[in-house]
Amino acid sequence: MERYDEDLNENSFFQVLRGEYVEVFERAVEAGWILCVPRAGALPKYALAQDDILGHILVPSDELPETHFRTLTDRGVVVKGNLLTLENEVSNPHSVHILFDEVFYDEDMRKYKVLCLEDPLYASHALASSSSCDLVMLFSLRDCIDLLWTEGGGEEALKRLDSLVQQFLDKNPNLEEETLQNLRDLVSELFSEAIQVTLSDHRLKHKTKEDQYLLDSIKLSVETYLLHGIYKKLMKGITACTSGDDARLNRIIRNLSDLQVRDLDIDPKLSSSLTKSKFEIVNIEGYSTPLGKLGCLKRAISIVVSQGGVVSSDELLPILMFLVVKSNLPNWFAHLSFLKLFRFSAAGADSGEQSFNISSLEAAIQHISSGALFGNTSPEADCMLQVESNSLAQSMEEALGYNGGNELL
Amino acid sequence: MKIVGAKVVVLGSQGVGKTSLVTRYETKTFSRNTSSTIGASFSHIVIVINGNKVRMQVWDTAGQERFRSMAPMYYRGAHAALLVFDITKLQTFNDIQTWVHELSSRVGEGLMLVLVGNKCDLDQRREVARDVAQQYAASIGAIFLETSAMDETGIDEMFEIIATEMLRKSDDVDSMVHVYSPEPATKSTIVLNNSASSLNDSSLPQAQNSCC
Repeated sequence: MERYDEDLNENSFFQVLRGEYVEVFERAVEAGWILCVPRAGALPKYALAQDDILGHILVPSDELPETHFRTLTDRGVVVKGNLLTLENEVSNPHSVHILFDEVFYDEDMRKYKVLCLEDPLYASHALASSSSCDLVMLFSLRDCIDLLWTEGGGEEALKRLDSLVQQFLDKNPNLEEETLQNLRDLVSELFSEAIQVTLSDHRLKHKTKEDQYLLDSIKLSVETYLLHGIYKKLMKGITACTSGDDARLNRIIRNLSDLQVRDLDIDPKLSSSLTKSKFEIVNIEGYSTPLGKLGCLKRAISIVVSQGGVVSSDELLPILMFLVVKSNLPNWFAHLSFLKLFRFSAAGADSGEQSFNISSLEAAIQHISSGALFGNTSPEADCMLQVESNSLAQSMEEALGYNGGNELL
Repeated sequence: MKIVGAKVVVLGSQGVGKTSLVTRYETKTFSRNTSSTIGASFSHIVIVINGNKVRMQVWDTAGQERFRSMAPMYYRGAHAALLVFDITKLQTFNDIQTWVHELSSRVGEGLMLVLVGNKCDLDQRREVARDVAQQYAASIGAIFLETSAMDETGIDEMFEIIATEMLRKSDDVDSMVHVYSPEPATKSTIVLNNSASSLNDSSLPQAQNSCC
């Protein structure tokens, strides 16, 4: 998971700030100051001192109220990207990540802003050195294995999952003959069982009861580990289901081999980053997990976005179309189905962005597949989108449990 | 304490300022810094009202005519739709009616509609009268407000209204479907369920298939 989340109402720092520093808190709300709250796992074990609290309240400067602040302990703070940096420590500049931000409203609909920080901002030695556990961020299969190892009970935990994977493969030797719906059901069952097995570790079970973020991270790790284990077989099954759609898409892509950036009305200044982005997106094939493929998709998109600044969906879609056409991957529909149907842990805070990226990729693939890029030569392209690609789209919708596929696409 | 997840789609023709509405809110609240790396097309906006958290995913929908057929992939499973037009361009207001027609036939009832007249700082070039828009909003059961990304009019209000309504809906017994917290009695995550979200995207109800 790339996006940390916690319930700030339960955060003891925030509770102390609101409960024991009522006057300061009220003043901050009235004046529109910003409250910083270190994440629960980074809080000191000792009782918080007044300076710890005051050092986390940001007063906007008059000149640059959106980026420059002073804390109530009179230190300068600058916000840049997702970093808060303490200014006045020339020798030892201290920067802290902003994990998320929330706008709070009280009963009177007065509002105030809260930033949750990865570490305490106020760099008093005691606070800084006491942040015991590092924040778990899952970007790769390796991260997931590490988490299962450290939290799930070491080698034993992985061995138990390995044996579940082996049982699954032995029990289902012919995945190529299954429908998408059946494939999803089978893997979903495997996932449920694996979660149960993993949480049968008492220590972990106890910890996840207290910590929703850890639970979500464990689920994602189990999903990632399992799918890596069954990927080759599963992908054969998926590819068999999507082969018709992929063949049609590939025919169209071959005919688009001369496609240029300008044909899609993409801003020419993005050309160079599109090349880099293309090198990234082709790697999607090499990843064997939703986590890996989604990370790859996200990086490919970020390369272009970081070049072009604010990018809307109207700009993003042609970029994705260009990448799909130029990537030379033979089975885009299979990868898309894998991403849409086999993310079982997707309940965490960052699932929204991933869903958005998948939907955008889906829109790009469907648009190409409809033949619409040929322009006037296919005046009925839009109808084709509805009719021709309906079979796969419908089976994906059905597998996801939508009511009636037809009216959806 | 409850957590409500809601998907908000932003619809409207190109050039009406859809993305600037969202980015303006974000620069003010820092979300631009902390949220996604994928530009203005997707954002997280979290509002906590009286201790209840509304976690909104805001999806920008392509507004160009050439991408029109792909819009359903963006708005399926949405709980609220911001229908944005430019008050200085009558055509963009007329375009809204096509969107509303499409939404009502494909998403059905239960989708919260918010009609947004943007660029209200350009009042002297106004082509869409406030009461005309107001009347139209009433006829489709939508809330109407005017906004300006320039002087920030109405932008906070827009998200407050949606968050408040999502919380209210989550109190309906029928719409509480999904609880994924280990302590369901005190904290629960609620995914709004209505005729719109029964077509839900993979982002929300998947955990039902899992262990919890």
